[in-house]
Amino acid sequence: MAPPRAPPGRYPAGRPRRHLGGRSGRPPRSDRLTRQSISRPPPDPRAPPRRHPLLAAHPRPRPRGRAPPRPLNGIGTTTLSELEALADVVRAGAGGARALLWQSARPGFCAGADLREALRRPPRPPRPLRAADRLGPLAARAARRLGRHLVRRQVRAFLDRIHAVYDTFDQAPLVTIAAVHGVAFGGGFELALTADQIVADRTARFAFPELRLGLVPGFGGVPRLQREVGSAVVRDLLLSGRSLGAARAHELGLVAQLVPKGEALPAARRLAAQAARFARPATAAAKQLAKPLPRAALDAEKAAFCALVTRPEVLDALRRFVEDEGVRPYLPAEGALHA
Amino acid sequence: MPDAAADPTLDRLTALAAARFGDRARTLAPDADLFEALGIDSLQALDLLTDLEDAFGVEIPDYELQGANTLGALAAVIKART
Repeated sequence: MAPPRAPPGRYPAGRPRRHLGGRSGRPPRSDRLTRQSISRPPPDPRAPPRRHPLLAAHPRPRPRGRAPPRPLNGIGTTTLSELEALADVVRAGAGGARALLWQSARPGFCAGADLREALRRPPRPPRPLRAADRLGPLAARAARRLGRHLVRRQVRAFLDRIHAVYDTFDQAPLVTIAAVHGVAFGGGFELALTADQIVADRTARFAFPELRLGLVPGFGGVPRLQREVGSAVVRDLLLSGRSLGAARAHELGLVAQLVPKGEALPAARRLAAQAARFARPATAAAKQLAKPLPRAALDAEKAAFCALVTRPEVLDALRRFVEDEGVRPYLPAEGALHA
Repeated sequence: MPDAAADPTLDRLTALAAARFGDRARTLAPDADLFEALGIDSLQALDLLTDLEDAFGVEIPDYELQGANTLGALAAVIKART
């Protein structure tokens, strides 16, 4: 099966969206592409969500046969564009669908942000600022400070896009269910946390390995996990970087249903079918009551991530993680970050 | 293997490793590097962790497996938790 493609011209494939406009006349080419994406026609509400290994719209069969080069559904700019397209469909009423199911056709749910992409194309200050060392110590210091500010702004723009998408899934007026098996780490865990309910098979494991990179989660994971299970569990996962097995996650109430290996998707479909029997307004009202969006905490998490992201140890840790050929790169590192 | 017969935890651990990675796990010495010998990758290591937690009814933080590269060392981690 051919991999799904964005409609031509809708997204600058594989490139981060640039900020719009500028002081001088004609925008560069990438901005024109962005303008097209902004002025795109409203999505056809009857159109089903486009296929992606992470996504399956109930009751469509799960996508098979696609082997993307990204490791375990890594979330980079391409996946983000695909998620934005799906969020558009959800905002337009999801084509009348009553439930949204998340699942992976790969050996795990999702290993989080695409760190290889992040390392390949790290956010960098503009070239003149990078060469500012030649200008003398004072100017160099000012240039480095400005450079960090601009990098944080780029990261912030990416996080704003991710949060817009995750918040849409979180607050969608339909039942959302994550059918999880294997690894749900970092941004993948955070995606599962947007779902109303997590149905996990016994192989599922959840973790926030971000502190290993000198960071905190940035896709809304801390407030969302706190909403579900409370601060002690959040601290346990954050500060140790350890992973939580499905059985323990079920005991804690994070996982709604624990099922045998390979049974998460069938169980999630049965749950979706049951939930779809209820009147739509009642479902929407129940969600509003039982699943408030922790807006202030989400903003605070974004700010904390952006404050850390320009620290020197982050890029070093990222490089170590990506280049680690060891058997256990998903486990906490043996060495500590000395900074 | 007389050592395995004398150590029920190691015995059970070896059976679990064999069920997941094949009979080669049975022929490993307790001090052989499990991950290198069986070519276990990071995701399989996490699967093994889940197996251990389910089979022994314990919770094992990932970091306690750092450096526990042999069946003997893994058995020691499990015993410390049971």
